[in-house]
Amino acid sequence: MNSLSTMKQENSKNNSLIDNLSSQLSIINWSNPLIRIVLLGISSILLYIVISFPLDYKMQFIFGVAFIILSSYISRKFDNRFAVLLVMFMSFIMTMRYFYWRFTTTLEFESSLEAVLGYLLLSAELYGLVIMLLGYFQNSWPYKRESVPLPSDENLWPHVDIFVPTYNEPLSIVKITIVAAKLIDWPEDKLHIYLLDDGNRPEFKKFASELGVNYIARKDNRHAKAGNLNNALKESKSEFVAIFDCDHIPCRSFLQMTMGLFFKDNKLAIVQTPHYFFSPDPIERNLKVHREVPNEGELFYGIVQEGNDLWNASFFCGSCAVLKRKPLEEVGGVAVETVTEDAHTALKISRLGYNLSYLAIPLAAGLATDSLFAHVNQRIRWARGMAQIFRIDNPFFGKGLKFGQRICYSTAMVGFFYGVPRVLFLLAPLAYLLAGLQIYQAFALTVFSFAIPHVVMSQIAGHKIQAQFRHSFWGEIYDTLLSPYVLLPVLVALINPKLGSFNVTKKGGQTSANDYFDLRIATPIIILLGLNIFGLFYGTIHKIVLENGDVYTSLLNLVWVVFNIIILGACVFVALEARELRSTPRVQMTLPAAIYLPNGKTIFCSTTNFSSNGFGLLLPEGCNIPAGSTLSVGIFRGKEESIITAKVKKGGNELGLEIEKISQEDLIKLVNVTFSRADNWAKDWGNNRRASPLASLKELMGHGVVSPKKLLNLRNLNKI
Amino acid sequence: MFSTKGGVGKSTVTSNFGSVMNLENRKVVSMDCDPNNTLKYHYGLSQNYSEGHALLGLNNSPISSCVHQLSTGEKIIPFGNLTEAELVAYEKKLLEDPYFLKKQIASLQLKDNEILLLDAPSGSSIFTQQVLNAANISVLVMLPDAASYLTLERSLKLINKHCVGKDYIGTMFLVNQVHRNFELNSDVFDMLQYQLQNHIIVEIHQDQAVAESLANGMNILKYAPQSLATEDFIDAAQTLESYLLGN
Repeated sequence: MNSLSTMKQENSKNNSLIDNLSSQLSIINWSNPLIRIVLLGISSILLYIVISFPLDYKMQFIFGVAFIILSSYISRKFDNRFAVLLVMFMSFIMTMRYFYWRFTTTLEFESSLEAVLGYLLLSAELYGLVIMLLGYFQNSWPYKRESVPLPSDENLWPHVDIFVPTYNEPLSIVKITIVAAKLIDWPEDKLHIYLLDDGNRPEFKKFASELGVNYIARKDNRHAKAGNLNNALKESKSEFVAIFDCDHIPCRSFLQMTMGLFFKDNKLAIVQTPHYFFSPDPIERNLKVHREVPNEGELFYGIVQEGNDLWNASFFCGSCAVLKRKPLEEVGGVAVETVTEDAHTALKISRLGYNLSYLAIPLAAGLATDSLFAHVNQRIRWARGMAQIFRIDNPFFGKGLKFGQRICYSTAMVGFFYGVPRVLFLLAPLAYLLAGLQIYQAFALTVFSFAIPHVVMSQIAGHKIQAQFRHSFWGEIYDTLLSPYVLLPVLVALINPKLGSFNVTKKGGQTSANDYFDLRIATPIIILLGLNIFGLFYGTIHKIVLENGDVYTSLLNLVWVVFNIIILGACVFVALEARELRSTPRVQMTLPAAIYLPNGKTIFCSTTNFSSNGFGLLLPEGCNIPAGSTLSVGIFRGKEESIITAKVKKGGNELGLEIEKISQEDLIKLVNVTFSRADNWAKDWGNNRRASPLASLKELMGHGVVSPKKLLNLRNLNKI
Repeated sequence: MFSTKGGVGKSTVTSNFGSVMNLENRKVVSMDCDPNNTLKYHYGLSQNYSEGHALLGLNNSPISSCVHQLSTGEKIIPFGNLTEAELVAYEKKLLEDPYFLKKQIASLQLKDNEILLLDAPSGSSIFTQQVLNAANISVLVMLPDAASYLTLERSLKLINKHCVGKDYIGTMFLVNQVHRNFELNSDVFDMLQYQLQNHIIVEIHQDQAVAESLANGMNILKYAPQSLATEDFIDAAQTLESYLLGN
């Protein structure tokens, strides 16, 4: 009886305490800056405690696993923005715990050689940390911008110049882009198309005059594409300029979807749209995963640019964009100081206080680089260019940029500096296995307990942010393959930005059968792979079998080596590129068609795919036509029919045809029916499977594709 | 199926429409309203087959007795072989009553979902007028040539004059022998499409298989199922069907 009443008394005392506290709390003015500073101070102290609290390896491991389980649960169960931020924050805690421990306990080296290598490895890890943090900031709240309709009064619509720069690409591809540009829905008298031919080729000039578009050829090729564009700016005068690479085919609704944004915001200087590709890029093709695994382009254009967009830093990417002439001319035209003239131009425009927008709707489609050589070359150029910009026009310094813009621009640039860190990671375990050097002074199990939560949590957070667009471990393949190649150009550019020439991205050229370039590309990878394999065997024998050194440390390094081998192995596989027999990529499209035979009879059939200079036909069962014949083919869409004269290159029941003759009118009809239609592309974009980090790891190890959890659309793309 | 010009392919269209609709399990009856009496050849009947509705009509006998059923299930009512005198008398009868044919058709007592295809002769004679008076839908068959384009106006006048009454649903335009490889053909077809853009217009491509099928006594679906002409006929027949039955 006594205790019960005592408890009751205590309860009521507690209740009144809580009441007291909450009434006291509600008195506080939360928007007072002083209060906020105090709050910040308290949370910082709490954070510091959580990060630095020493735990032995068992407790740390349990703590880490608990966090992993909790964040996985949150990641799976909740689909809103706060879940993303929370998972990011939890990953941040685990990562900071790792680094706190790393700095305070793992850097006591025994020899100066170990110290040098040890600090090198640490700097590589710090690079990863910086990228991770910048990435979290950049992607914390992607801005899902929507298209804005144009005013209904067409008289208000501005004049638009369409620039299509070309240098050495074949006419068969450029033709299509120009025709598609002509088909863009916009008042004819306000649409001005310019074919900018730096190659000065007569057949291009002829084509332009036949089609009725402007042709500009310079006397020299100074500053390559940037110079070409600047020259065209001088000879044109519309208020807006839309730029398409000669193999980026715009769809009809391009201007309808983008121009409205300029009416809404008159400080807007650039609207950028995604680069979508018809054909697989070399990495996808080699691993035969086109359309199953998102490619690098989708990562960037799906998520990163949207993240950039929130901070007003979704920079110009050279194609599929509309720029306002006035801001462009204010910065002196397209930048010529670096080889990534597009990003640099956007940076300069941002500095003047103009706005940038990104519309995550694919409105143009094109070729991916069609050989490993070209792919690597293109990425080298981007890495070099970004390093140049970082060096001569650093976004952290100089005026005109807001804090968010500085971070986002820097992230884009620093993101290309992964060459040195990645190669270091690929070599680090060999220091112990081959030379017994302890460049990481820690008890192996402790390393496991800190490193595993750190790595796994960052994968979980990364997956939460960008699952549809990038399977966690495919990113490793991309970065690894390119790391030996971006390493030197980046270092050189950071030291002396003027060194190094501009490599043109080769597009549309043949992937030749006797091209030894691809084997040459594999060489650094093969060397790294060889070293790791050697390290695996030597390490196993010397350290495990012969029992020299600590078992746990050896195991840790061996696991690391195995992981390296898997990745490097996949890279080698990529480099042993399948020989591509066709010279141009294709778009899959089924349209009704008919073959008109010389004897006056016909065969009703359907198309299978289209390229810039040919198409495929599927004949009815039992029908066969041999290779070598020339056919007259009609392709139908609704009431329209286009007639093509084509030669059968591949005979049989499924034909491969090369276009020999097509009237200009029919070419326009054909492009209108095939390449100009956005709805075909938009279906694929962002529709990739959402795989958990575990699933993508399994894929990487070639254990077959795990069945997807769910198919997700990034957004409702039916608006097109 | 009618046209003011000759040789545009009315009978071919009639018989091939019939086979398409028949394949889709519709009950189809084709009726030859042309004194030349040639529609029967499209159905494999010989020259000697002389029965037809005209003589029965002349004698005021019910025409249901001359409905010939084929093994496919399609039915055909030939015109019949008439002597010159009989023909003159029949014409006189038609002149006296513009709706004679319509009444004859009514006497067949066709069910609601049965389709009757009337093959009219070329020109604007009394026979054609009777057909137009009786039709729910008239299909103007044309070639993509200058003559068809120039006589379009006249054909439309004919329709407006005779296709009146609450039973008339509308007109469908069929351009036969389209061939995009021939410039004049292609251009005239484009012009016709433009001129008739507010109407229902279908096309049948030029295809040797059509003529060959007739020579072989078959319809195009059986003779050349994988041809473009077959596809065109299927499309056109389905368009006609939904136009007719949708109302």
